[in-house]
Amino acid sequence: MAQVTLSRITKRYPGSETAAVDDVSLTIPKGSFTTLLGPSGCGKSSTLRIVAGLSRPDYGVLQMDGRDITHLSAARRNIGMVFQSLALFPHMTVAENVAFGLEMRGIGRSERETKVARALDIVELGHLAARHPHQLSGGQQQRVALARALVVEPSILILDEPFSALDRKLRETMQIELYRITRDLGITAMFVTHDQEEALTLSDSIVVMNQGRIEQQGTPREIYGAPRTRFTAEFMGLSNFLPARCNNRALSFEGLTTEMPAAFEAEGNCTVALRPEGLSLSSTRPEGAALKGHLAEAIYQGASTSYTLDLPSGRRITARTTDCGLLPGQEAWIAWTPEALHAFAA
Amino acid sequence: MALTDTAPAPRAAPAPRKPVSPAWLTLPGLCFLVFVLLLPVGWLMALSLKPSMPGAFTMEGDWTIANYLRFFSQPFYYSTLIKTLWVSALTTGITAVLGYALALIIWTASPAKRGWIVLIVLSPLLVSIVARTYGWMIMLGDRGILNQALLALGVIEEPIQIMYTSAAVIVGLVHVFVPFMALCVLTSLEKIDPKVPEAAMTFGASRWAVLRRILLPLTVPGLASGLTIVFSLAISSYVTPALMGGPRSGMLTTFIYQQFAVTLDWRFGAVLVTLLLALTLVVLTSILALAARMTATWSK
Amino acid sequence: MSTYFSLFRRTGTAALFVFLLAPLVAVIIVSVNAGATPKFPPEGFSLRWYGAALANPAFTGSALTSLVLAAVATALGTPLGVAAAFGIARGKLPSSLRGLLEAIFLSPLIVPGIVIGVALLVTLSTAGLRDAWLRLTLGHVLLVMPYVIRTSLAALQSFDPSLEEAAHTLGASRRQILTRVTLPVLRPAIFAGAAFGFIISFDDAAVSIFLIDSSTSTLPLAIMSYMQYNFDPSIAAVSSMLIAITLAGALVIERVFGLKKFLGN
Repeated sequence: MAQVTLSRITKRYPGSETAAVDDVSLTIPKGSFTTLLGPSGCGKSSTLRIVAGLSRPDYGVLQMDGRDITHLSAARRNIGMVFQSLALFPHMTVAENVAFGLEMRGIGRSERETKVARALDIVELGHLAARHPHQLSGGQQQRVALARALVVEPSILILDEPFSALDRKLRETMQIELYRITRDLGITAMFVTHDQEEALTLSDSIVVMNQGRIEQQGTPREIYGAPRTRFTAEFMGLSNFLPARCNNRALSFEGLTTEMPAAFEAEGNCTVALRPEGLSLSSTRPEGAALKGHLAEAIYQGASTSYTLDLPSGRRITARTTDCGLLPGQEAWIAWTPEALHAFAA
Repeated sequence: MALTDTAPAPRAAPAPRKPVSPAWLTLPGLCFLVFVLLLPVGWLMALSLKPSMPGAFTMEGDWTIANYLRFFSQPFYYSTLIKTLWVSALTTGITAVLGYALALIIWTASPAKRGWIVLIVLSPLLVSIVARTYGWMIMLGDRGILNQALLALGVIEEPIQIMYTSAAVIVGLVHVFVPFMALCVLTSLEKIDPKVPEAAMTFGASRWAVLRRILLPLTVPGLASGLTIVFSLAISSYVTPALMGGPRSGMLTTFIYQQFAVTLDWRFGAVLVTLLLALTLVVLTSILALAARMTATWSK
Repeated sequence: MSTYFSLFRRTGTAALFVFLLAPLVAVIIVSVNAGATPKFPPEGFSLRWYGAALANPAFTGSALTSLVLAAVATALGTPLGVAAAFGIARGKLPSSLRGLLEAIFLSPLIVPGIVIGVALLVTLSTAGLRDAWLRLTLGHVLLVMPYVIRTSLAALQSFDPSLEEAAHTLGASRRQILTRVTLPVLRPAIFAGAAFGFIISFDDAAVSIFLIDSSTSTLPLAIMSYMQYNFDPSIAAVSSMLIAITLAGALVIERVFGLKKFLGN
């Protein structure tokens, strides 16, 4: 296992105005599971391909345990990679697929067989070793790809949206399995996804990327609980953005002034976001900070009801809460739990 | 994110060594094609512009279009062009109808029967051209199966001549080309959502109307590629006209054979080759252009 | 109404199938005919015409020529075709140049066989090359190549590039990627194109008719010239054997790759 460091990595594709990867510096500590998260085209896959050695940066340095590997061929980086398409070799059996990397490293037959058997045991596929990939289910193919990447005892395991083709249930099973295996083996892993839930489930550390740059890096708890930019907040499922001002930790928006939540820092013009799930409605004014609104719409959704409210400023707010019996046309007071209020600069 | 203290001073990565482009891999094949096909055909076309001289195959002599004038001034010559065109056109037309019918049969067949039907439809292609033609000679000869059957049934009193007529050539050609047409149409049919004809039926369309208003327009691309393939194959076919039409089949290809192998008037023969190639190209491009225009509004 | 339709349909279908199969069935029936002429109904069952065909040196000699020719043409045309397909698919060429290259490489499919034969005859004679084997080989490589290119191109277009990247990250060199991953994955397509080219070459008459000489002939041309003077069932016997061979070849292609891919456009 190794620590991987990216220093000021920049990559521009020919014919493109903007850089796909723009001055990215990042450390993936030994044994940590780090996820690059962002929408398609944000540079996460380009970054991952640079770490894997499948693409060369125009600028910057890539190090593995302090050794410069910027120009080292992918074949010599000792990485294990799981591709989005899985890229299982269709003409080889499961065992041959898994053995391929060992063979390329010149490992003898008997040692190869032992290692392949062990790797297949880890992913619980020992009984399917003689099958060809097309004879396996999607989840089984996934495990073969994982075993093939793990068997070479890689310095870093790289996963490029490996679960995007699976249905939701299978994806959750595979996520749990990947979590178990990487933590059991203490593997350094770099994972790429556009699915925030997946990133929250799997990661020790999440790197949110946008337009080739790192937007924010932190633990899942930090990223979810205290997004520092509007982009991260939106990406983590926040909505109800309201313009605000912050003056010496006094936060005012929509005619209301309240204390700035401890997790956030901003001064001057800033933005407030209210997590829809953390809001509650009532017909009478609650204690503490609250906004008054006009209930425009109530859509019953079973476990919760989605309310749309018009604020006096003309802005709209959505609240998802248990049914409170209010009807469209009525006035309502909106209150929130402390965690539901977020604030960030601009 | 800020640089860590241990990070080395970043530097620009040197430009990687450019690998040789795989495009060069086309070179051996390209050279082969140029020297074995393009230059020889070009040479032959140039030869057609030299004065006719049986036995001569070099480039001697002045440039002239005399050979072309000779071809187009004598009915004996230019009639081959006309005959080739109408035999090919008729072959293509009949093939289109039969091929379309076969494609519909395959399309609507149950999966269990489908494999067998496809095998039957492809069978003419899977059989050596000489074997297939011999089969037709057995069928259509003066004392062939067809004549014997018609005589036995009393439909005719004397055997009718089918072999060595244009009818025999057309039958032989249609037989080989039907599979191409059927497959081309089938490719288009398979892209049609089976719900579309069903939907048309719920609006009260008859089967015939479904065919004419729904299936036919949607299969124009397949039909067009089938027509181009079949027409160009028909125009350039040699073995079937030679065997079933006889040496005097009057088709361009058999005429070419005579010029080059019997009369040895290569320079005049080169005129025929040039015309055959030109005809193929004109027909191919015009059918493709027509189809492109017909589908331009709905297909990409 | 609908019963009339289905009756019409059934007879139509049956008539079409008879049309497609009749000549093939006729050949096979005549080949086992005991009589000296292809009569119908046959005069008893006999395999004597198979014996006669196999004892005829004109058939056996030309069959050997055709087999060797097809094998040599396939052996030369396949690598040329595969390389060209790689160049076209991976060359990162501008699309207009790419289209031109594709058109040139597939042009032997459009140029009439007889034109190919004549053009080769004329130019090679001019160049003083009159060896029948050389002429035939050049012409037949031209026949094989486009089929290999067509199947290889189709396979390369659906090739998942991450297969090669996966091999690379697992430590494979460029050569190892090519020999252990890329070529094996393309193998069924290459094989099918080569097999189809082999059949086309073996069956060709139009290109070869100008390229043979008095001592070297291919099987289809030997049968054609035999047919000019004889009409006995030994031709049916040869034809039946050819039917069996091509059918076997086609079944192999179908198993490996699927026939439809070649015949459609």
